[in-house]
Amino acid sequence: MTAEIAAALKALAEANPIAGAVAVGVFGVIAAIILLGRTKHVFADMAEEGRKGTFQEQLLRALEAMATRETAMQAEIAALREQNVQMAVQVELLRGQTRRLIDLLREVRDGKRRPEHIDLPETPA
Amino acid sequence: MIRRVVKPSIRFAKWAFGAPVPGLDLMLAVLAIGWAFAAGAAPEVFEQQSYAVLRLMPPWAVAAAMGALATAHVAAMRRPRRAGLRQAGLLSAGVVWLSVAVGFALAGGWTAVAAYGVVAAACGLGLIYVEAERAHDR
Repeated sequence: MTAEIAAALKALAEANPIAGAVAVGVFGVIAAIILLGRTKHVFADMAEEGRKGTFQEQLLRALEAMATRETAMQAEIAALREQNVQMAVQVELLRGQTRRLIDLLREVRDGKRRPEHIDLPETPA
Repeated sequence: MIRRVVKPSIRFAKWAFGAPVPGLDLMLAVLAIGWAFAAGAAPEVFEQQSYAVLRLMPPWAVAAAMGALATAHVAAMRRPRRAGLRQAGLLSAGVVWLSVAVGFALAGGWTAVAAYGVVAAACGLGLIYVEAERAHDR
């Protein structure tokens, strides 16, 4: 078995050393680039830049969402204002009717009008 | 029906190609297993001149080396965040597949040179990518 392993290693050493040397050389350069990048903090700096970019993007997205929400809220405010105007008109009408009712009651109290002479409108369905 | 086919495919694609790209290790493991099986089942293919790099190695040695490589890739695929393990596998695979590509270049098999050259390039880029991911995870 040992002789077989030795033969295999010898064969591996003899088998096309150029190809192996080129491969080891190329990947040695890649490994050296990585190690150099690690010692010079190139990868760490790039990761930090990426994180900053991500944070800025997140901020921008949050601002855009806020702007969209503001537009929706403004539309809601406009609708509420319109509703308020309609309510004010209805309250004014109600006030007029109440005044009219009080006048009629006063006339009945003072004997100026008999209750059966009061015209009551039909209650709307 | 189509959803049953497409949904798992999308899930697999997202797992394989989304960060940290364990699909790279899966691809390399499949390739190494293929070579290990070829060395065991049909060692005569290594007698061809184009397989000059491995021609002189006994088939069991080729199968053992490829099996070890495949095991390393599968281990890296299961734990893709373990940068050291992954880089060791990628570096070994890169040397192996680039030496195969150069071996084919010396023998004149240009299609194989392109194919294994791409695999070796993927290993090299994978090494740099894993280092960048490691820095990002910190």
